[in-house]
Amino acid sequence: MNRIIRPFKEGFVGLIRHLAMSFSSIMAVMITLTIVSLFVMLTVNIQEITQSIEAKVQIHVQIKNEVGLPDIGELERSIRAMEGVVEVVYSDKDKELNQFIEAYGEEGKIFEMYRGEKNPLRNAFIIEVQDAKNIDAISKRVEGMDGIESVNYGGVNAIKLVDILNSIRDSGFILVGFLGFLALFLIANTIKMSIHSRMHEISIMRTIGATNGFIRAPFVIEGILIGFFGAIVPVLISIFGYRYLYDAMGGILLSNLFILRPVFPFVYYLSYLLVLLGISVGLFGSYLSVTRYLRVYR
Amino acid sequence: MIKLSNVSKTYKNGVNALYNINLFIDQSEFVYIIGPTGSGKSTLIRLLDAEEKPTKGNVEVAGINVGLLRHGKVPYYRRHIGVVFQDFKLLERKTVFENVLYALEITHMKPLDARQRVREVLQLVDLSEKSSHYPDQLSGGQQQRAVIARAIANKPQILIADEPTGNLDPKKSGEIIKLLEKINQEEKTTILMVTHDIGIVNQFKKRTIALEAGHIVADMAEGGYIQHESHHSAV
Ligand SMILES: Nc1ncnc2c1ncn2[C@@H]1O[C@H](COP(=O)(O)OP(=O)(O)OP(=O)(O)O)[C@@H](O)[C@H]1O
Ligand SMILES: [Mg+2]
Repeated sequence: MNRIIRPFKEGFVGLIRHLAMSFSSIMAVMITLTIVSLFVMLTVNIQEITQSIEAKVQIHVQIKNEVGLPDIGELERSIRAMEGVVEVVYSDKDKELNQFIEAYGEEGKIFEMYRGEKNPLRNAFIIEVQDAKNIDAISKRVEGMDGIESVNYGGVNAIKLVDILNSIRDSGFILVGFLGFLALFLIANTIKMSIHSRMHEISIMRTIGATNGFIRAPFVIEGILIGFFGAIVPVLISIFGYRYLYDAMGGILLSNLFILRPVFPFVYYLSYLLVLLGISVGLFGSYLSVTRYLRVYR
Repeated sequence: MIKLSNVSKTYKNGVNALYNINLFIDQSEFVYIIGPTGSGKSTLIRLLDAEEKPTKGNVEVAGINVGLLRHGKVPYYRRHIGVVFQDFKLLERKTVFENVLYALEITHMKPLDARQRVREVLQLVDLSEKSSHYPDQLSGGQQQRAVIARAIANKPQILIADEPTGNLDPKKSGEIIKLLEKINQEEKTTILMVTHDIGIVNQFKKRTIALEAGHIVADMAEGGYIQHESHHSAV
């Protein structure tokens, strides 16, 4: 029999012979990889959302009415000089009203009457910050400056959401680690059974001079097959599940603020990762077992 | 061919299985190892096929210091020695032909050459007609001949057999010995055979080494007495 085909055939036979054990190992890999997949989807989208939020995180500063244009220029310069500030844009009350009206669309038309002298809005700065984390500190500093009426910033709830998602991800990480070990243990155990059922054959192989690599190969292949079969369902769940979710939510999470990672090519990379992980766990688990149980004999 | 110098073997549990053994077996010799149960016969065999390492002394086979063989080299060493045990060890799921072929497959011999060699050895052990049978379709003697065919397929320089006739009736046992004699003569294979069967030793006279409690107590040329190494002298 061919050198390459033999271990595959025998590995497959081993898998079939202990179908119940193999099945539980495959299930363990399947569950682990499904959770890994969810975990990766979450992580990637947290990243995506964090980026899209950060682009939108800005401080809106209202300037007191009595502050004149020269002093406004002075304020702008000192804010711009602060650390962590990327850009300061001045927007006078007329512009502010335009935006306000625009933001409300059709209904905003009724605010047209406030144009000119009766405009209740203030002149404003829009500050863009480098890192959402600093937004609070910068806001406080700006608020403390002379001539500032009030300071607002958006995206705080978004940042809180990201924090929550992050902690979900972190606990997911622990779960993944735990399940990974379980899968490894189950695979090692399946391979151990397979080795025991073939001890007779192994002892014959030894006496007639089979190398350790030759003896080991079918068992390692068996482990790899377990890992591979365990990856199939998670891959399908990832590709179709993610596509379904993405389409169902229209590519966003709750609001336009949270843009999700597009389906392609993301799901392909995710699939490669899952198959690779499945195979690695199978390889590692079986190798552990084989090395442990075959080393005993000389 | 086989040279043991001051070899002692103490198992991990403290049992002294062999004590200060000195032994030389030349190429193409046919030698019996006899002795009561627990005298260390199988231990001697296990030292020769590198299953065990000597606690003291040197075990040299075909110029190789077996005790010093690195783990990874052991399989390659084993291809130069054929081993036959009392319990017939054939793979049940393979035919006689496949069982013998298996020993050649592991050496990655070219398939055509391998098949040719299998036919040759099956002819030699007189099992050509049974080549497509499975082990459970063979008698004990036939199974043991298949095992011998597998052991010599790689053209080993040495064939060691631990009670190859232990499970066989006298007639079948005689056939096995005649087969071993034939291999010894035709293939020039050195043969070392452990046996309990004094009937065989008396009928087919060979050099005979007697073990007792881990010592060589007698080393007799074909029927004649050569030397006596009293175990008292070694203490
Ligand atoms: N793997 C082992 N571990 C510990 N002690 C062992 C081991 N193998 C054999 N022994 C001990 O070493 C001694 C010699 O055993 P060995 O198997 O060599 O005897 P033997 O001459 O082949 O006996 P038998 O005729 O019954 O096969 C015995 O006391 C036995 O109990
Ligand atoms: Mg014995």
